[in-house]
Amino acid sequence: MKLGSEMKSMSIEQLVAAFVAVGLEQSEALHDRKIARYNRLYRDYAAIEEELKSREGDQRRALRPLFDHINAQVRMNAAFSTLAVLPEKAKETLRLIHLRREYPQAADAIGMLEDIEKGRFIPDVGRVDLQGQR
Amino acid sequence: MGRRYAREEMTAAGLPLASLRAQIAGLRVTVAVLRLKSLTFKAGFDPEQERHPKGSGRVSGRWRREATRKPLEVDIPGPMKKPAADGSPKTPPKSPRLKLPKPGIGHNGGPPLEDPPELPKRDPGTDTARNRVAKRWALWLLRALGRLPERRIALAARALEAVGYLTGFFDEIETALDEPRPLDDLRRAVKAEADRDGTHVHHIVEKTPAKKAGYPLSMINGYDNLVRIPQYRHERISDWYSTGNKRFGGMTPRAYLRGRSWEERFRLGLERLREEGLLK
Repeated sequence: MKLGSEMKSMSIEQLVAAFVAVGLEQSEALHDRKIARYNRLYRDYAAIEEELKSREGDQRRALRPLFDHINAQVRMNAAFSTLAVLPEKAKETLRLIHLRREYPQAADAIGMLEDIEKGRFIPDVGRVDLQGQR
Repeated sequence: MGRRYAREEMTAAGLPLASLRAQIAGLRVTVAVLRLKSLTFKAGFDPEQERHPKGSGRVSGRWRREATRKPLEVDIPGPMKKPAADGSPKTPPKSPRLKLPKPGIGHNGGPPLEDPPELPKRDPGTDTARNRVAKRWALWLLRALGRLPERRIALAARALEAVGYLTGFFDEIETALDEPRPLDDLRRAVKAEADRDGTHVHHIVEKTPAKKAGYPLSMINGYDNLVRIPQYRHERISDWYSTGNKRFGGMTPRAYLRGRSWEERFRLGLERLREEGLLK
């Protein structure tokens, strides 16, 4: 999937659909150990999140229905992207991914929860020990 | 007819959404299991078929014929082989079996379990392709063990046996389902379980970046830095170090660790083992 300037003209529904498509492709890339592909998709994921955030009223909330998506990568991405706007629901989604042992995502889900709990990661701020370094 | 449909629609509409979703999820799993069942039947497997009990000599554990129910009766002739030189009978070669742990108490919240991965009836032809099938199944089984009853897990195992071409990957599948172990245990396993197939030796602090950072080999390959873990999970950890991650501001964990101390690398390495469900 190639996402660029056309994202600006996409509707919220289209952006959410693209968000799902990226998550599904990431899931496949992880299974097949296509690391370069996964990393390209990660940049798409981050770009869509940023676009949703920039829309009036912070449209990251539009990702809420994805908390019930059948694919764990899509659910995890949605939870990561909404930690600042829907914190409780996002954390609950991450906890569930871990409890259901949905590896490989389960590992990052619990890792993110621990980072937040220990104050190493602040939603919308990022990793605390990286501030001022980038 | 039309009235009947209308009544059914009304009943469905009267049910809470969660109940309907649960029913749909149940049907999906049933369909998936039936699909697997057809594979096992094709290969002549029936997990319910009685076996010769332990201690029945060389037929121990082998299927018994349907009609015969007497215990210890040799109703499947073994291979016609000459006794070994010392006079003891030779044990026939074991048929490869996939040994899976018993399902534990899982978590039933959230969306339904994903359907089992595709299981091609024909051998995909290369080890890479076979490995891909085996790895997907290992991860699916890891999820399914907490959610499906034992008989469905057993059926999935029989299907994996039935296709034949995955036999060489049973060790990798079995070890991928290992429960977490204490750190000392994983360290001791480096030597104690050196002949355990389906496992790899893993460096808690990544080897190559540590070498580049100038750490001595005595530390990198030291007892404290080595653990033995399941191969598929080891591959996953290696991949994790090189994939972009929101937790590290979009950087890869490897890039995040560049220039950081041995202690910090070690701490993150241990955390990852814990997060992957390998370390208690």
